[in-house]
Amino acid sequence: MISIQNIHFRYKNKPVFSGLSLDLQPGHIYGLLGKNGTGKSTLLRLINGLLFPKEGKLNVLGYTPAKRQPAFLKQVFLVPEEFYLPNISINEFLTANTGFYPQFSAEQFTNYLGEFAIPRDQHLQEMSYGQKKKLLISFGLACNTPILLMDEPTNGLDIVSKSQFRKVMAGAVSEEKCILISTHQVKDLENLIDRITIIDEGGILFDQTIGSITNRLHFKISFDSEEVRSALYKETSLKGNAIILLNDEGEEGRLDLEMLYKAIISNKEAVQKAFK
Amino acid sequence: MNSEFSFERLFGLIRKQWIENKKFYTLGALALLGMMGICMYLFWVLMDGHNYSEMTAYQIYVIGLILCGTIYGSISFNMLGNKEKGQYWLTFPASVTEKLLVTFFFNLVLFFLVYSACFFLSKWGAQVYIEQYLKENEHASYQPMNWKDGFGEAFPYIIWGYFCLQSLFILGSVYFKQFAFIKTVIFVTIIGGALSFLLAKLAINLFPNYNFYWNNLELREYHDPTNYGVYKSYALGSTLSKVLGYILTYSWVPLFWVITWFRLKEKEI
Repeated sequence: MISIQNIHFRYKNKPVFSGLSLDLQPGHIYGLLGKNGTGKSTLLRLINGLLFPKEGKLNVLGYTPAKRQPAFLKQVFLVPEEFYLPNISINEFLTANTGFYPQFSAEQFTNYLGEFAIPRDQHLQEMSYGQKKKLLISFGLACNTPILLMDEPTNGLDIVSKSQFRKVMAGAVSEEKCILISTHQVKDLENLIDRITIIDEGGILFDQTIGSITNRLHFKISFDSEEVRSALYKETSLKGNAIILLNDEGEEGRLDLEMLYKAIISNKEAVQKAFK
Repeated sequence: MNSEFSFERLFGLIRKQWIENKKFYTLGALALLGMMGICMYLFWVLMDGHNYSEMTAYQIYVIGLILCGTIYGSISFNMLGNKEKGQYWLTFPASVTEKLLVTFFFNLVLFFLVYSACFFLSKWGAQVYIEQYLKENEHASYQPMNWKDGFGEAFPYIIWGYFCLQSLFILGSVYFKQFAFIKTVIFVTIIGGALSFLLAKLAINLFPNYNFYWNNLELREYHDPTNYGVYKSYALGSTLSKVLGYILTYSWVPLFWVITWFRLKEKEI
């Protein structure tokens, strides 16, 4: 669905990607994680055709995004971190835009707005940033494009809205859709994504499914000093030591995304070795 | 639907552009009508004194058209200077050709029609007043526009020149992210000045004794300063000069639009 092969990209003199390769398939929600400035948003904009790779091949649904053909654009929807919405009402916004997305469902849109508690008769300029973002997320989901890209979708959402977002997203997954969410707020994506991709230093640092992670790693609280010593990653807290161990026994446990992310950033060799 | 062009998408885009900007267009048209009325009153009704000339009204029309048209043209693609608006515009499912045609429709065609409508409405109002004034004042006069001489004869070319200039300012709005109008004015002044200087220098050095005539794209060397009827002439021939003349006159608008199209194609945000 999305095939990225050996792409290179730079902003003037600042290299971002040097030989990045990635393959994304439908039926998944991918979590794209990474430190600030590692190129998460850049990758989304490359996939959407807003930026052009300097080298390498980028194929999305059989199209070259840089050509920005209408047949391609109507199948990809981007919810950017910072976005623009015109100064019109919701109904006018729908009248102006829905004709360009053949799979748009007015019923789904109304349902999503309901989930997010946004009144339908509101004017876009009267809305808060968070409300506008929820409207854009609702519209993006209701467009039913095979590819949905979201850049920091939970930024600006309050606690209740974040859980509404997770609920809405969980219901939006389908076998035909590929959803790619870029964020640095890893907690917001917990129990939502089924594959984690971490980018760093111009390439892919880590790319595994949730199933594979829980098969190989075990997250637990431990008071056993021997266990703590052998951990791939540890954090001391009042409740004990939160640790990540190799899951040699095949134990079932709950994945802590934030801990995993910190483990990969601070001890990448050991974590990567666990997946070889 | 064709991958690059479809009428359905084009009309959809026109509708979208109207829905999203109708307040701006309506208020803009009203402001234009108001400004035109004020200009017509100040510069025609008041300043022409007792001897009214219709030409003054058309001069106001031309000056206003060039000023407003170029300013409006230079905001055509100002959304590309803004990351959020640029993303919204570039990722919308329509081709660059369709998006450019919509800009062409609103900024070139519709603006010209609305501006002209505002002018004729204001002119009609001013003319009603002038006619009344003429009835009441025997010493006052009114000179209708002469379309076959001077300004009147040049009028269609001035209008065409305006379209060329506006297309250039629209192109400038793609090139310059901020202050597109001022930057395009500076660019046009510098490039235009440099080009005129170079051409003049070239002509003086290559053909020191020749005079150039636009009519037939002809170079003439006069041998007898007391008799200009005797000269040596180099011309391209009437057909070729006419074709070249047409190309030089009418190719600028499509040329600027084609460059704009390519610039939009390669625009990254």
